Amino acid sequence: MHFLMTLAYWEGAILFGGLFCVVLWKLMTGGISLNYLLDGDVRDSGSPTGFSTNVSPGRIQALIVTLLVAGYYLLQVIHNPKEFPKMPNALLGALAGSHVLYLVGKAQAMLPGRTPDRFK
Amino acid sequence: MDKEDRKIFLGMFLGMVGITIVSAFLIAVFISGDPMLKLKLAVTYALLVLVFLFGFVVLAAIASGVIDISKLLEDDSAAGGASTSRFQLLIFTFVIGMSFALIVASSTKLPDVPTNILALLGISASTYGVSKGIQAGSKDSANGSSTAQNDAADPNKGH
Repeated sequence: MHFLMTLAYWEGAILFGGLFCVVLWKLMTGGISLNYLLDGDVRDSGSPTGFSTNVSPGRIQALIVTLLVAGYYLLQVIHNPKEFPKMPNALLGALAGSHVLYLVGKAQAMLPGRTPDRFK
Repeated sequence: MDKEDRKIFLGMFLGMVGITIVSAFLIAVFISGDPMLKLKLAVTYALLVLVFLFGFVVLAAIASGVIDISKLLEDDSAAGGASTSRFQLLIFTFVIGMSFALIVASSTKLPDVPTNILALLGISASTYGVSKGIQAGSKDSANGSSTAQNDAADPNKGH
């Protein structure tokens, strides 16, 4: 039974680690493009597509907060790999707030009319 | 999928199932002990082998480009580039998935997932979903306004 558990462990490690490595490798070599990651669309009646592209501060802050939360989580798991870490509610709130900010910014830039009017 | 690809796919599938059956047979014949235990071990090993082979084929196809994941992070924005909402979902999926595997390996049992970890995944996935909704809504309204402009420019239309 011990050999079965070892086999299952290595199977999971190879498949999941392999998928992670393949995705990471493709990200590093440009196989998966990260171009325009921080650029957002803005409504522009002068453009043929109806939108133009600009660097978005909302995306930058969302990416920074995401990386911070993911890094914190990973450090906690590495520190104690026996159980899931306890995430502070303040950190979750910060992540949620950051993503809401990003989404509101995106909605304001892309949807027609004033955004508050759409939610009336 | 053309006929040649279908033949290769079928051959690989049959090969994998064959290897699974052979491994189950070997376990059942060469392991001594209680027949019920032998059956359990044979089925478990066979399933492990089958899952590994299926997973490995998918992984090899992704690595070799047969399964194309080059547009994994792209959305249908005007620039056609990577999307922040997709990228953050990818990061959290990998981080939580890998930690789950690590915790299972360390504690040799399925752990209880705390609600704050589920909330973390929920926030991440909801962001992606809402972002897709905004993208689709803006596209619809842009198409609608361009149709209205074309109608206004064409005086014969609608008469």
